[in-house]
Amino acid sequence: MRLLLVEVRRFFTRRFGLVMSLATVGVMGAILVISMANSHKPTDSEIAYAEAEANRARADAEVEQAECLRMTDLPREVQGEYNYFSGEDCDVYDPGLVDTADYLSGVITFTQDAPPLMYAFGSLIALAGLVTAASFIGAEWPSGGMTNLMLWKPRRMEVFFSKLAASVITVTAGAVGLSAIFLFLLWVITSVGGYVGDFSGAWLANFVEQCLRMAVLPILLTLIGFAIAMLGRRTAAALGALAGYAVVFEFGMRLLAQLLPGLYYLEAALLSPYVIAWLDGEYFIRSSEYYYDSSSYDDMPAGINIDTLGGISVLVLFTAALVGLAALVFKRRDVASN
Amino acid sequence: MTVVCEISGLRKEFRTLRRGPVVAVDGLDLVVQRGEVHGFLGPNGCGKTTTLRALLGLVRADAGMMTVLGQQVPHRLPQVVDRIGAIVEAPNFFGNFTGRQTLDLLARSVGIPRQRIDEVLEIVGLRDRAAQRVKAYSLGMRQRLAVASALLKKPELLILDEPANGLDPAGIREMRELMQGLAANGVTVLVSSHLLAEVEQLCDTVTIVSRGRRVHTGKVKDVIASQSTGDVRVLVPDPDAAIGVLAEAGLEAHRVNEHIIVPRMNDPAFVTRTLGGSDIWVSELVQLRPDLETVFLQLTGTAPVDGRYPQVDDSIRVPVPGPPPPPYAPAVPGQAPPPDLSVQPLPPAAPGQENT
Repeated sequence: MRLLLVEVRRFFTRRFGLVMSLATVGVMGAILVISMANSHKPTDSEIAYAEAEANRARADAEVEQAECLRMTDLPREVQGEYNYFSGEDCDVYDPGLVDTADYLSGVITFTQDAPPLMYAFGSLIALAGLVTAASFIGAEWPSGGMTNLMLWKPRRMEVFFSKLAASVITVTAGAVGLSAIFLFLLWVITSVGGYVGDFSGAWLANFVEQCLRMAVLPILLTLIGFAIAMLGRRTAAALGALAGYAVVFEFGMRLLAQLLPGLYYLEAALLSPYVIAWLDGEYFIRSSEYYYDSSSYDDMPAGINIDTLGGISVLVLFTAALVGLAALVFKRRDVASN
Repeated sequence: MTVVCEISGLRKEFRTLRRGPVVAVDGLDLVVQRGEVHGFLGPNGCGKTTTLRALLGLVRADAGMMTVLGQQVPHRLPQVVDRIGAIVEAPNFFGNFTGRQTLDLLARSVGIPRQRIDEVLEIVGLRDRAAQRVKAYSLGMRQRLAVASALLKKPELLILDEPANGLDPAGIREMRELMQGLAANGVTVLVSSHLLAEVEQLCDTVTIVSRGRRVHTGKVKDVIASQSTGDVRVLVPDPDAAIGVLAEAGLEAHRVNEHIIVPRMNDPAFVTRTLGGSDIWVSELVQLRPDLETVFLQLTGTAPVDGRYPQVDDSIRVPVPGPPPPPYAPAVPGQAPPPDLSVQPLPPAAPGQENT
């Protein structure tokens, strides 16, 4: 515990973490400034029009949701008619999801813009977490700090997991803090120069779920950056691995999978489909072929479907394997030079 | 005396893709007694640092047994590490931290009070530079910081790898006095160094290694004495006449410049008596005694040879102890066989190497 506190302190003391935080704040500020520059405060007539349209949409949604609830448990075909609501999730017709902001144009609104901006901001924080964690370890090896620490703490796993926990704790704390600041500033901007929107319970539930899912990414990327830097003993190892992965896999292999339809399954070897599946709830890797679905009486595209659980399982297993390998190598490694 | 550190049959081999297996330590033995300052000497690449790293759990030994403060290491190193202060090789620290921050983080990790940081900064002379970033430190200042970190724990055993590296003359002297002071207070010091004059002044005992094996060990004066040949250097008005007189008395002697050398002379008084008996009056008589540097070069086979540039792996390889001893194989074709380590005669001492 004492070592963990020291490592957290070391993490916060390092200048690189501060630089990365400032860079993230800078990008965050740029996003907000650009958003504000492209927005205007809606007039009363614009708001009145939007509210009228929203009320109409809510009424339609209410009818549709009621119809859905009535039909969802019935088979695909009812009295010779195709039942579109069969097996459907009726929550998507929740009138509470209809937002007045949907009917405003050229206006930055909190309820409309916070979710996509949080994706962008969360991704940025995740990348910052990877680089910061990699630097935390990568700078320790060549500077001799790791060797010095091992002279004091010969139990290597204690050192490994203290540093790992310190990285995760500080990056998570930073991510939560910066996200909170970001959302607060967005709320201020939308209050002053845009439109806040309707905070329904359904919206809030969706947004909180999105934020929680997003919060997993900085943690995973922090662990990945930490593990690669521990394996390579340099910050550049993590950055090189990241760049190499992006070029060879995300670009090269994806291109190959798209150019040669028979190799569509190569996309399953990438990490991005699992990230999307985790964030969006589903990702479908399509092949060029179709099959006949007897339940929908239609030709459906063949391929690999990745659901939320599949997405997060692969991401967690990949990260755990990498961290496990790094721990094993660290435990057995000869520190013959810095 | 109590043994504080003992290494027996230590072996470590590094495997590299390019050079294949490289034996860094090859059956090394080392014993350090409580309260002594023990010098650990050897040419570059002979395995000193690897040995110290193995002792401190930084590298895994392939074979051998090591105990420190009565505990087998590396397995039970965590039980004794709080009683060991160590610096290994280059004194590297994270450059953007100040000296005080560096020590503070180490101290906090084991719960050492902050007051101790001020004490060690004072001891190593960094009190007024403690707030400066380490990247602005000179090599000598980093070395001092490394020593400060080793002293933080008030260690019973201090393991120092090249502690005087980069220090200015005053710093070297301070370091020597610091180690002597620590030893006087019961701290055992194991120090590796290439500054042999320093080692000769500082250490009680030494172990000399070459190519991963122990060449010689013992008290400094005994190690030097073991290599002493008993040669006597004599200054007389007529050297050639003196050589003749000594030859008549059954003594072998040869001339070196204006001096004559009488090899293996256990009774110098016999020389003065013999020469005086022939009215040749001795104006100077010196019993030649090598210094530690000469002994080191002799024992490790690294003495400079005219016309040849010795390479780092050219030091001698001692046979593995135990029957039957394997035949000696010169490390480099054409290299001279190793000296007999017990009674190896030394070459005539260069001026300034003698002790009366």
